[in-house]
Amino acid sequence: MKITTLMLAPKVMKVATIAITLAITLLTPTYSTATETIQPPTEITFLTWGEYISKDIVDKFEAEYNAKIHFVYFESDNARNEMLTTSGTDGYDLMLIDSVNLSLYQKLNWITPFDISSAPNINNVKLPTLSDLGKQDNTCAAYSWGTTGIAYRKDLVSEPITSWKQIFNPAPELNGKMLMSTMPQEMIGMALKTLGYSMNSSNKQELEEARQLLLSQAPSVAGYSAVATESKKSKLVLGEVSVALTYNSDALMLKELNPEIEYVLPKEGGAIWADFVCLSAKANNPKLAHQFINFINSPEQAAQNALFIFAATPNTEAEKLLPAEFLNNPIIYPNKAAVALSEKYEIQSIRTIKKQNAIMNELRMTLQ
Amino acid sequence: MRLNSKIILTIFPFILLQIIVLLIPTLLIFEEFFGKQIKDHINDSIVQVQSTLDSQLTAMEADSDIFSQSIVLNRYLKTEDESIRANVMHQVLLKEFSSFMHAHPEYIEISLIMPDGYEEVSLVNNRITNMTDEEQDTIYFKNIVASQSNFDINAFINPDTVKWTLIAARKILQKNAIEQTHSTEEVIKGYLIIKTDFDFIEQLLNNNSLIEHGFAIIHDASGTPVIMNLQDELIFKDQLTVIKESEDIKKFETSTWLLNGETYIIGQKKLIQNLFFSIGWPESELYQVLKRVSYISIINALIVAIFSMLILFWILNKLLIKPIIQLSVSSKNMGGGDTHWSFKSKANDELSDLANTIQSMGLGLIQQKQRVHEIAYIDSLTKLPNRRQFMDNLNSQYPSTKTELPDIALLFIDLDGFKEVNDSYGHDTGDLLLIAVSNRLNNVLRASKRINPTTAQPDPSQDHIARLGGDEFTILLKGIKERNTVEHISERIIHAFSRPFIITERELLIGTSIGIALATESGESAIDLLKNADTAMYEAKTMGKNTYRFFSKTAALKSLKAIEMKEELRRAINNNELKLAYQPQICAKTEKMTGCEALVRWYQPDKGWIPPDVFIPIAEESGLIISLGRWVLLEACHQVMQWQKMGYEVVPVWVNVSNVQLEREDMHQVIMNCLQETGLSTELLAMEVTESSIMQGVDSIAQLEKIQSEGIKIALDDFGTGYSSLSALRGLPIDELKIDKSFISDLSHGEDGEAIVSAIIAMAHQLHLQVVAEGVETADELDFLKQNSVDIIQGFYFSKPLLANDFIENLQKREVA
Repeated sequence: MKITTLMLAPKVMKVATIAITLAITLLTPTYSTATETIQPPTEITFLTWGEYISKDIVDKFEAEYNAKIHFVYFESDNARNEMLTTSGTDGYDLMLIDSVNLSLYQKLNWITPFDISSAPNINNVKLPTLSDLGKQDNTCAAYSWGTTGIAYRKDLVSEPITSWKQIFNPAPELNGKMLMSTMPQEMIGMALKTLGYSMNSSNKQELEEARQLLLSQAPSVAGYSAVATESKKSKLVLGEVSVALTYNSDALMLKELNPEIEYVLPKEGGAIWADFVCLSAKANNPKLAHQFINFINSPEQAAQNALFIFAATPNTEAEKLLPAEFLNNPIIYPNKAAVALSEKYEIQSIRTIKKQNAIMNELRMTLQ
Repeated sequence: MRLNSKIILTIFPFILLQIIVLLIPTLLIFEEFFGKQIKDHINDSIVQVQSTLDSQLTAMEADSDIFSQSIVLNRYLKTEDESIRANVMHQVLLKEFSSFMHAHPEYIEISLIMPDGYEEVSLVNNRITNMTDEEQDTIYFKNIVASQSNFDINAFINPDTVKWTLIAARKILQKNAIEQTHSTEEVIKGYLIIKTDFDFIEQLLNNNSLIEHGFAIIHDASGTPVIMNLQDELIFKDQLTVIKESEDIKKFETSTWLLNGETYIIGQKKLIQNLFFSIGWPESELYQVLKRVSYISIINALIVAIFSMLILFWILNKLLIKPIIQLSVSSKNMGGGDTHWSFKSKANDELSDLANTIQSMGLGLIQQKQRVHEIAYIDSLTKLPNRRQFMDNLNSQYPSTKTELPDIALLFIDLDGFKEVNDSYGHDTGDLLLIAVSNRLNNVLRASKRINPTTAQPDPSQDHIARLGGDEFTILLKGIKERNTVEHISERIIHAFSRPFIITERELLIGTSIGIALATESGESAIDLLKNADTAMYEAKTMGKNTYRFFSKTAALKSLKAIEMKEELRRAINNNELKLAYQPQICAKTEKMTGCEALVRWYQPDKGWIPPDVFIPIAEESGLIISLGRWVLLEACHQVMQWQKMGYEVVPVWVNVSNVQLEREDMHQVIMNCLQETGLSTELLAMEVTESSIMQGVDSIAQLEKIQSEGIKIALDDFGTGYSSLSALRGLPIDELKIDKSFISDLSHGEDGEAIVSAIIAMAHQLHLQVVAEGVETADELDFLKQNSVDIIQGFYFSKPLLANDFIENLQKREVA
């Protein structure tokens, strides 16, 4: 019941936990089996982050189209990769995919392009030219974009955080007060940024330097976990940690709970990312999927959703409907200089990935 | 040494020997047993190592098989696009590896090697860093690539850890997805590698109790140790290669090596290709164990032996020693005269038999002893203590430890006239009299005790009355300090004797003389006391009999003189120091010499003449009178014969004969021998005897009659001093009566004397006896005697006794009748 309340709350955060995922997956089949036999075509399943879409919009769509949308949540891009690799893509109509995996999923034939004629609102979607993120074909519909930086408690640090160096060469006050990501590309990438290298570097020497930096930081780290954190139980909100590597949208959701939380895109730059909604190649109900992607990309709905998830929307029509306050928020819309120093994630070679995974494994081991 | 120690010292070595004899085979069996145990144990260890390794290998093969079928792994390998594998699936596969490793923590690494030898996915446990990505040159990769089989496992030195590792490699085959042919041909898409270290077996090696002392090594063919339980450097690496020669030997055999100066029992076994197991156990351990076993056994044996000894000691003590000691004590008590037999035994064994024998023997001995005691210490006649017991009793009063004299008194009792009773009525009567006397003495003492308890004897037994022998009794009184008490008892004794004894219907009246000596006065020693009491008794006797006398020094001196005199007399007789004097006997009417009395004279140069009334009683008492009498008889006969031969007209010689002589000798025979020897005719010899001689009894009278029948005249000497009356003389063998000189000397003192003498003379004449008057010294006496018709005069009036030479004058001048 608690979970349901959470979902129905107007300002519910984008939260992903195994518990919630399990709860949803347990609830979903009972519902779907009941409806499947009666009205098979009127439902779709959407694989996405937890709480990453406004419930109101979903309700409106379901009412309007006499449809039912099932949600399956993942807690990280890697977790989604694991789900799809182990279980395949069967059963999903729509998936939320990051920019890197997009082309790989295409190669794997896991996704298929939308028929724009069936969902004309996709035309409203166009990512800004941020670190080549915009150079995407129209296979999928961009959903949101943001940055990866540092969220911190300004009341718990002696000076504001402005640089990755403050995290990777931490002051004693941060000892055991830093929550890091479990994603290898994020951890190694940010370490490389700190060192002044490209976060997509495959240079062995640079990677080794990053490894050394991470290993030297490791003793001060409170934990490596998925970036999306439990909202109310967030250690940052509770003050158990002072600093967390996270996304700007997540940081803003936490700030709603605790105004002392600040987000910074460090001066070295961070990662800049975009999420896309894609049509599964094995979609059971492509028609309803098209109707849904079209619905959420209508300017009103997209604007409302952006306000809900505290993330910049690539829907240019929706952008016009958003208030100036939102549009002028530097956390949501970082300044051009900071964006210029930031990078988007690239596809890596097997050797780099192996190295990254080995380093991450090593870091996790140090915590044991 | 005591009996129990003897027995134990004898048995202990035997028990010990027995135990040792049992011990040696036991130890030999132990040696064999331990030897076999060690070999078995070595075998077991080898089997254990082998089976542990085998199960590990089997497990790894199974695990690798299971994992090779992982969907993720297969999907991964099916994915041709490297970037997809890398960016989408790499981490997924790692997670799969991770969960697999979670389930199998013994694996130190799981990895996937691509056909080109590149290690694309690898998960190592936290202790290890993956050092290499390119595995194409590693032996295990080459091995699996070259292998006919899909699976290969062996021990290698892990390039990442440089440690011995078990590495399992498995080919993963898939149909080629791209070609999409119908062919079932499978191609190798990768190799799954699983690695584990030898920790699983290390525990086995280190926890094995057997090889705690020895060594256990898993090594390769070159002898390089893979894992071992030794901390030190392997000093016998070369030895481990020995197995190379016998690689094919599957069967395990032990052998012995000499390593570092120590002999080891060795077991070796090939485990898998290039992996061997050697185990060695120092032989010295075997002997160590044996030493310990034998040490414990010997200690135990000793404890058992000592314990057995203690039990044996206890049993011996209980069954043998204690009863023997008890028996000994009982016997000792019995030996001390205690008839109570304290030895008690419930056991019906040889000891109790022995005890019974000893008891009856002891009782017999006690009875015998009592009998002997009675014989030795009791007078058989009166049942009174005899002289010996008396002396013991007396001596016991003089303990050597005490210096002060005991307060005792000794009464020496001698019966007066007992000899006469014995002579007159026979010894049987005498014996009965003695019994009666002892009873009467007892009564007196008992009575005196009742009357005066304060003088009571502490010891109420009869011991204080004793019979020394003959008619001599003693009474030992204790607690006597004054003469007073003793006087009372003595008077009572004398009084008790005033009543006659009735013996065999005869009334016998006897007196008693008591000599008393007090220890405090005159008893320096037991001997002194007895001697002095004896002396006092003699004193009492001389004092007139039927009286008591305390010992006095003068009496003692007198007695002493008597003893001296006896000795001198004996010498005098032997040395012919005695001489005979002759006193003429003159006829009162004719004044012719009718005879002479031979009188013995003793002259001692230092003392002069010793009167006969001094030494004759001594001679009589001591028995010297026998030899003295013989000498006198022979000398007198000899002298008269000599005178006769000289031509003188001789008169008969009167020789005094003592009653002792008559009692003890055949006097008739002695006289006849003498006459024959000297050749004197019987008319020239006559005898004088005393009243007491006549009174001795029928034997003496018979003797005298026999002598008289030979024609030898007999005179009764000293008439009037005895108790005999004139009427008693009737029928006696006497010819003459000699009136005692005391009557003659009394003549001048009054008419009573004259009357007695004249009466004696008249009466004697009535009996036809000649009357001789002795000791006539004056003319008045002669006149009176002449008037009263005395037949013969003897005395100083006519002549004193003369020595032989002087007497010759008398023979010459005096007419002989």
